[in-house]
Amino acid sequence: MGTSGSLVCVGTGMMLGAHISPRSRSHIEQADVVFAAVSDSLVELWLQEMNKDVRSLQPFYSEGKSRHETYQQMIDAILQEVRLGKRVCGAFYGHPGVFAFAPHKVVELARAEGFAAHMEPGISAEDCLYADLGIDPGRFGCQHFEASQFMFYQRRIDPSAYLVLWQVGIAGDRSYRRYTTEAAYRQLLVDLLVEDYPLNHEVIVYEAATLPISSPRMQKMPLSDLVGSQLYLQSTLVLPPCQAMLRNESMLLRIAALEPLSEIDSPATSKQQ
Amino acid sequence: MSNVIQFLESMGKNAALSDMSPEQYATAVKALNVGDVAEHALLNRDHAALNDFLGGRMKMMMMLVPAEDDEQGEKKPDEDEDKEQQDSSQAN
Repeated sequence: MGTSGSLVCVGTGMMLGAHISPRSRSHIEQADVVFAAVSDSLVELWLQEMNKDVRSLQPFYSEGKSRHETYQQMIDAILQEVRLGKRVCGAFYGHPGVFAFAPHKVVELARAEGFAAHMEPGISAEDCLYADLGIDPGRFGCQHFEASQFMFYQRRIDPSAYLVLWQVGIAGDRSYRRYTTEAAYRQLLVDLLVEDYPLNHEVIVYEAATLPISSPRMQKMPLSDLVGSQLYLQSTLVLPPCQAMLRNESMLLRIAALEPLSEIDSPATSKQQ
Repeated sequence: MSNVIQFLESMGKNAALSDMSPEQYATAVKALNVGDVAEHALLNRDHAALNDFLGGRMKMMMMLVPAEDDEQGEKKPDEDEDKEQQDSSQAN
């Protein structure tokens, strides 16, 4: 064991065996201790085969216990081993820095205490979503929100771009102690969404596959059916655009004033379909 | 490494294995010689049965981000409510 502890937070990707990078895997294999927060029990077993000291962060979760407390305990447990001078690896499902509070925080705190700490990216649920649903976020633009945050705050959304709401299975939970919210909460989310989307707008409930023997959930339904649908912790709601992008004519005119007409060759110069 | 986990890992990282026909998949599973329970679970692509066989956790949590944290610069909904209540009581 060294005298100067270090920390790396790596992503395992979403699917067992398929997504982990060689670099992330070597961090897991070479660490003195690995803390694991993954979404699939078999993925956790897989990690346990890579290092003799893999400690699950799952026991910190408990129904009725504030998740703020859970995340703090995760951070404390990881930092404690870093302070003991160990090479510590936090292995998080997907990308360790995407919709993940504890990995960012623990890297920040470890650095503040003078330890070497960094993050290695991974293939996130968002990446799988783009591949499985055939969505290019650059085509119309794509907005991402944590579902409850989307409800708690006044957000300006653009219905000509994709809208993706994460953790929709607990949308509206302000206690941070639940692991599901009921249909009434989902109805409030739908009420909010119908300010910008038709009730019959086709939306998609998405869940990435975590095993190579399983398939992703890609369930299309009208927005109105969301209230009665089965949603889980891993469920994500995708709303495709419901209207065409609106040309910014004044900006196009200002740009045109800067450029000779012959240099302009863009679909934005032609009339919208 | 357990044969079952090793098989899943191979399927995950090997495109040829991930593209197996149902017949090829069944042959590959039977060749593992992992016993009837695991074989049946694999053939049925039954996650729960595989998990039981391998002794994995019964329940997995996968939430890693709060809707709001303690450090955001904006006021939280509770704070907004508190202020509204204060304003209201002051008005009274």
